[in-house]
Amino acid sequence: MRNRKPNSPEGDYLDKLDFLFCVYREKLPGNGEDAFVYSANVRSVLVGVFDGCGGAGAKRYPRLQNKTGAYTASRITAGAVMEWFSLLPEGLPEAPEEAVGALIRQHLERCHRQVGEESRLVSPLVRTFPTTAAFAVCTGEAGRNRVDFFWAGDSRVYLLDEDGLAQLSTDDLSVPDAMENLYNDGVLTNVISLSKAYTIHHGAAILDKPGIVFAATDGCFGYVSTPMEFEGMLLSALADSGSVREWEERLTEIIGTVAGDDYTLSAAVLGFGGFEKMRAALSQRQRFLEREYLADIGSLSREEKTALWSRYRDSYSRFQAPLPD
Amino acid sequence: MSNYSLRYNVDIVFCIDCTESMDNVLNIIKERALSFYEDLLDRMRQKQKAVDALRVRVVAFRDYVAYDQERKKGNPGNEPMLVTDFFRLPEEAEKLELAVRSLQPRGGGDDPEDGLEAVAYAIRSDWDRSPGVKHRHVIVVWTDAQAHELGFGKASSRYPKGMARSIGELTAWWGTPSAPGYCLQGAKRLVLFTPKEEGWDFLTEQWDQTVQFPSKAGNGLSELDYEEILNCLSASL
Repeated sequence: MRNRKPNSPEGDYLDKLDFLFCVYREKLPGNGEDAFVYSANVRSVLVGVFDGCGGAGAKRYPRLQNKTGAYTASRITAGAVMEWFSLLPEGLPEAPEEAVGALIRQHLERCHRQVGEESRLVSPLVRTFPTTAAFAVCTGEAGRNRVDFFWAGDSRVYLLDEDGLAQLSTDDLSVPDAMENLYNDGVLTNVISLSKAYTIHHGAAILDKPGIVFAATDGCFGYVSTPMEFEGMLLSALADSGSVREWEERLTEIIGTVAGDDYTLSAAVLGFGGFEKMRAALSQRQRFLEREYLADIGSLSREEKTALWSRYRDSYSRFQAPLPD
Repeated sequence: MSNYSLRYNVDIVFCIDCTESMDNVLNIIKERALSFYEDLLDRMRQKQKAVDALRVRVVAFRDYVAYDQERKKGNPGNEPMLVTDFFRLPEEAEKLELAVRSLQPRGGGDDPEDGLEAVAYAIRSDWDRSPGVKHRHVIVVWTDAQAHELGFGKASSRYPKGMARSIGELTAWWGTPSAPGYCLQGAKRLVLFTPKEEGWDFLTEQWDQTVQFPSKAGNGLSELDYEEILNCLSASL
C-alpha cells in the first residue's frame, strides 16, 4: 500500500486515513542502516522508522552476507514491530510498550543465536544489534484520532498540523534539546540492543484536528541549523507539490541536499479528506513560518537562531511527554 | 533554509609505549599511527562529516622509576615522558612524521609502564573547543604492558607536578555524563591497543566512550576489527 487510500468498508478507521507515504534514501546503496514500516487495517494505522547505530553496531557478520549489526538490527526490529502490530487486538492492550519491547528482544535473540558471534572489542560503545526505534499507532477514539507513540533512541515521532510541527517523542540523548543537539554530539542514553536493557517509551495524544503523524530518523532532521528549518522543508516541499507522490519525491530530494546520513520518514496523513485539502490547510502555517522564522535564517548568527528557537519551542513541544524520573 | 552541514574539528593524541619490550612492534605502530588519522578522516568523509581542522599530538611514555634507576647507573636518554604540541594537519604533516619516526624503544625496567600518566597528559591536552562546529577528542594508546598504579613513579625527579593523584582523580579528569572532565563529553573517545590486564581493565570497565582491542599493542588486529574501531570513532553515539 503506497500513496493511496486503501479500499475500506464504510465507517472503519481507514476512512480517516488519507495517505501513507515514505521517504527513504541510503547514503551508501545497499548498506543503509535505516528501516521503516507502514501498515493499516480497519482499526488502526502504523508508521515507524528504525536507525541501526552504525558506530556501536559496526561489527560485520559473515553469516549475514557480511552486513553490520546495525544494518541487521534495524530490519529485525522493523519486522518485530510489524508482527506486533498485525497481532494487535482492538484497542491497545495494557502496557503495549512492554509487549513490543519483549517481542523485539525475542527476534534479535533468535537472529543472534543463528550468527553466534561477538565483537572482539571490549567497549561500552560496542553493542550487539543496536538500533533506535520510533513508531506510532493511530486509532479512532470518540470520533477523534488517538496517537500512541513509541520510541527508543533519537529517532522521532512527529505531528504536523495547522498549528505547526510538534515532536511527540522525547530524545533519549544526553543533550535532549532539539536545537542544542544540532551542534553538540549528544550521547544516546537508551537504545535497543542485546547488550543492555532498554526501554521502549510510550506516550499518547488525542488529535482534535487533521494532521500528519510521521516517524523520522535523524538523517531527516539532524542536518539543518534549526528545528524550524525542518518544518520549513516539509511545508515548502508540500507547497510545491501537486500530489502526495510529488511531495514524497520533493522531500526525498530536499532532505538529500543536506543529509549526511541515511534518512527515512514514514508518514500517515489523517483526516484532511484529500491532498488538496491538506495543502490548503497547511498553507497558512507555511506563510507564518516563513515570515516569522525562516525569512532571514541563512544570515543569522547562532545566538540569533537560538533566540528564534526559544520562541518556536513551546509550540514544537506542545505534545511532548515528560520522561519518568 | 540556510547552508548548513556538519563540520568537525578533530584532535587526536597518540600515546605510544617506547620501552625496550616494544622493540619488535614499534616500527609497525609508527606506521599505524601515521595512517590512523588519515583512515579516520576517510571514514568521517564517508559519513559526510566534513573535517575543518585536524590536529595530532604525540605522548611517548616509559617508566619514571626505571628512568631514575638507569640515570643512577649513568645511562641517560630514556626520558619517561615525551610530549609534543598539536601538529596542525596537513600543514605540519612532516613535523608529525618526524616526531613519530624519531621514537626509539629504550629502557622501561619492570614489566608495567607508566601508561596511565600518559593518558593523563593526553586528557589535559589543549583540546579544540571552537564554537559552531562539532568535535572529536580522540586518545589512542599502544602498549604491550600493564600500567603501573598511578603515582608509582612519583618519587622520580621527572614526575610531573599536578598529576592526578589517584585513578579516581584521573577518572574525574576523563569525566562522566553528569560531571564532564577535560574533554568535551560527547566528543571524547579513548582507544586502547593494550593487554587486558591491570591498569587498563579499570578504564574499559569504568570509563565511558572507550574501546579496547585486547592485545599486545594491537598485535593480531584484523581489517574487520580495525574497521569496527574506526566506525566507533567516526559515528555519533
